[in-house]
Amino acid sequence: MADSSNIKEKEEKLANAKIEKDKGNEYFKAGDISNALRQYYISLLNLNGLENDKSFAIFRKEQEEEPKKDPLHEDITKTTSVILSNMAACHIKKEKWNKAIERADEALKKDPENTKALFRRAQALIKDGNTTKAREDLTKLTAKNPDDGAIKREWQSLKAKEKEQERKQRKELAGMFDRMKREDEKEERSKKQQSIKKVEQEQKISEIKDDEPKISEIRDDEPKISEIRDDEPKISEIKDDEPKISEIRDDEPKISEIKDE
Amino acid sequence: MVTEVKRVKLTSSEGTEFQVDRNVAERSVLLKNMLDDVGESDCAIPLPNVTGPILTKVIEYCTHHKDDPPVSHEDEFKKGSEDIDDWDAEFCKVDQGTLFELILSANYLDIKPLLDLTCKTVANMIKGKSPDEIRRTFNIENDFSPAEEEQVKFENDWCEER
Repeated sequence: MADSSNIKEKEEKLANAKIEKDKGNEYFKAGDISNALRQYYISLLNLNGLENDKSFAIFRKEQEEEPKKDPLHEDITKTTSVILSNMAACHIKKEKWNKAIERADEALKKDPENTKALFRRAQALIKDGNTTKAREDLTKLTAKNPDDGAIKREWQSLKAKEKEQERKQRKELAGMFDRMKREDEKEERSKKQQSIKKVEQEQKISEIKDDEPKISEIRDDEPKISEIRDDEPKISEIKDDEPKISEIRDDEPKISEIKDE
Repeated sequence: MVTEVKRVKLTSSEGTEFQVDRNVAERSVLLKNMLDDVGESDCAIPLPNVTGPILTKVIEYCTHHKDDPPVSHEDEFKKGSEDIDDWDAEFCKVDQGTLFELILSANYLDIKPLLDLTCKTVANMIKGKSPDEIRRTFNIENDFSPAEEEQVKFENDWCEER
């Protein structure tokens, strides 16, 4: 295979990939996410394998003719990264956070400078509740674009998510401490009762049976434990908060508009 | 239980159309992801980097293995290069060019068991051979000068079996 025809073939495939990607962008803008994803896959099918993958170079007949620096290499990796990042945007639309994170990861592997991929990963991480990693990504984004409104909005939704998580956690912990406290008290009370019993046992063995109502009093305590469970509706109140978060979601078309690249 | 198996259309680089069952196509992780994400469609999936003859071989492999339970890459790796079943060994009796194309396609389509199989086959072609034999097997030109060759032999003397 001659060098020039090989490069020509690559150029053709790269051009095809870009055409398919643009079709995908059109579908995306029109809100047809499934067809957009499909186009992006087809675009990737053109691109995958075009790269000069070193591990497989040995199997290519043209290995010696091919110069180490492939003039198309950068274009191929950048385009692949853009497609993967657009796929992440599709998955965000479909609220498939994990898939969105995966695609954005891949996009960033191809091109670490892909700001949009980083932005989308941050978005998906927030929605997925991984606030620690989302914070890392947003910090990087802010360092690059300190005045970007979309990034600022993500900071807000990150903080909202963190508050929500914190509230949830506090409820859970508070419930736990309450329960522990009650249990401790219960234990102490029954210990006291036992020591009283012992004393009484030593005094009047026949009276022990009369003591028993006191033990059942301990059982009467239990409704208080179930009161803790009654607390739980308050946790569902937190869920009622969520519409506010989804309001943020309604913002997305503006943020995730795929500008032609 | 009769479940209708959905067909998937694939197009090779020359534009030849192939029809396969969905579970055959799904041996390829790339195609499985795609089908999971966008569902089936009447439009064929173009595979511009796989030629018709190679795609035929890949489909043959995927059809034979369509009901295999998933095996992790690590398990497969532990099995070593000798452990190849008869059907697979027969499948790999192809000319070198085809074998290498299969490796590239298995990588491209993300079919790990096929990638493992074909790579093991190549490993077995190398195993136990002297450098000259390996050069002959793979048509590799010896670009060492005699002095360089002596140096390499000297440096690697310790690992030669005698």
